[in-house]
Amino acid sequence: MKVLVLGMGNPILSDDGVGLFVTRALEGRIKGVDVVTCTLSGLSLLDVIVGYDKVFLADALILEGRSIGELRKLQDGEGTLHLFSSHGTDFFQLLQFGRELGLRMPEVGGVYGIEIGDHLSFSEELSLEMKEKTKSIIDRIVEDIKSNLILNGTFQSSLNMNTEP
Amino acid sequence: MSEKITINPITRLEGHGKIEIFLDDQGEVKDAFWQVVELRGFERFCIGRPAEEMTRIVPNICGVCPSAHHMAATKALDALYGVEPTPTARLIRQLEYNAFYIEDHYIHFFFLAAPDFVVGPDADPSERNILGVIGKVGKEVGLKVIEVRKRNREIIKLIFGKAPHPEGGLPGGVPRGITSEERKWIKETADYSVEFAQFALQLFKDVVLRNKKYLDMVLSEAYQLKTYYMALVDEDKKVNFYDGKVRVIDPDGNEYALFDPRDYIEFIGEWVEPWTYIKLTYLRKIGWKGLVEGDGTSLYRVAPLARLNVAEGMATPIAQKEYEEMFDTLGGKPVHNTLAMHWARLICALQAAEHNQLIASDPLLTSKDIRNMDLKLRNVGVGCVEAPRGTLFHHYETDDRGILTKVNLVVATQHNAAPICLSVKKAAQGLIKGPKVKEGLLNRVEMAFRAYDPCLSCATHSLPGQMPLTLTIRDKSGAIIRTLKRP
Repeated sequence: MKVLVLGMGNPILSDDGVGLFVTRALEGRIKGVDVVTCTLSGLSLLDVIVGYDKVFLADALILEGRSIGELRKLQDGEGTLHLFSSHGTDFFQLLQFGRELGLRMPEVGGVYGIEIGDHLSFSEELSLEMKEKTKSIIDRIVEDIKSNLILNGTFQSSLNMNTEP
Repeated sequence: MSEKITINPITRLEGHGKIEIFLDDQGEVKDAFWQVVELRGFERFCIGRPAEEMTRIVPNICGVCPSAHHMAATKALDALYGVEPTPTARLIRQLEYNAFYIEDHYIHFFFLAAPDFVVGPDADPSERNILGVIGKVGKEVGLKVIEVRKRNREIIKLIFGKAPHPEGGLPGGVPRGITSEERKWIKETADYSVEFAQFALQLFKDVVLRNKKYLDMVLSEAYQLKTYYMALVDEDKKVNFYDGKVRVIDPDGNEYALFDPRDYIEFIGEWVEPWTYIKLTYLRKIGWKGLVEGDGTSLYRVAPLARLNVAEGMATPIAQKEYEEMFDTLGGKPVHNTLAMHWARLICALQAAEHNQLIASDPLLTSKDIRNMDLKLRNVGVGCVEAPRGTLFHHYETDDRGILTKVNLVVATQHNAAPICLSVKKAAQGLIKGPKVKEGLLNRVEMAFRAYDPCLSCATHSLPGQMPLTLTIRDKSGAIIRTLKRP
């Protein structure tokens, strides 16, 4: 099974790019998965996800009443900032579109939304408030992805392979 | 008491916008505004950086037109360093830019415009999307769209590293050349793109022009707006996406101005209104006349229809035939029918594909002379391209070390912002009668907006702290009739 962890966001809009930052830090921490970051949305994501069996996404999220850095695993139908701010199609419609055309499209293993508050500004750095929370966010996402893959049997082989002499 | 209808968010468009329509006591549309509510602060972010960083940074302004910003920045660096790209570099840049045009225009047509015409403007919103389109026209069409887009993105990737956010634009050249092997598949891609362009135009004619209801809608007063038009033209005054002079025609089609892009400030004024973050543009020498069309307006439009109205023809033969057919069908130049923008967009995509056929056959394409290193910092540089959504200016100034001291972007959606408001108002006035408005009618109002394919993300580059906090609506006499607080 081919698994993708995809980080999304804008690298010059401070916390908007937290999905990129967090996902880069996942590299090497989960065996057997591809880790990719991109600043794309809409149809452009097709090239990135086609051919995978399962995809996990990390992206910024803005919800009322949440504190910066709060991690939330979204339910079906819920989206993060860059899943719905698309030019022509949203991420979930894109999956359906690809399947309709007979392309190999992944199932969604999880969408991790990271609250960024409603104040956006141009910067290539995360805010101090966000920086303090990234380690915990990364650890929790790693744990959740591993649990998901083990639960579904897909990760077992990778784990076994890594523990064999 | 007036009643307000809000369409929010504007579906199928990048960024966040809001259209507000105000009804009078009789339920007639009194006014309509397009608001943009997204924060930007781009210029301030850039100041203090080396100018060369701009080609890395600008593709991130938004997810819709990264190649346009990248190319405008590259050309601004040419001007800033007083250097002309070599002939081969110029060809390679145009090859990439045409590939971007093809990709961009088909995404708009099939994903944003086609749902309204193929599925129908009054169809259930859950079906009025790309899935509904392929449900009507077949999966083969969807696969063709994916294929043409994929092949052209390979060209972008080849030249500028990755698609659709290219990087690596250099003053005086391009980061890599083209090999003879690459020329072969580039030629095949161009041929495929021309074939696809003709297919897409035929689909448009079959679906829209042969349907009297749709043709009447395209020609209706609700979707007309009489303005000036602006676009780049080549030395023969033909459509050019990459370079040339800026030509402006008046609402009757007469040439109003023809100027070098570096003189844009003499011709384009920027006007700030309290109800939008976008700086509205107007023809400076006429002066700001407000949101009015026809005689006395100082507003102009850009984008595909403007390109065809402004130019005296297309630069390639098959596109020229399509251009002639469009103006014959719609009653001659200039065409003021906003929905004709879709037709014009497909003709532009055809020219881009035909031009890439020519480039692919040009012996110079595979020359190794891809960079002119004769750089002389001149402290000021203006780069201009026809972005898919219209004329785009990047203006940079630096100190003697090449560090940015000023950055000004004038983007297509700024040029079109005031006309979009007027188009929305006219569509609303023509279509909405009374307060009980069905979803399909609201979608028809949105269609007036969607035709421009506005790029909201890069249009609102206002500095933090300078965002207006209220929306004010005035009546004809200028009196405030409504003030809305920004949440």
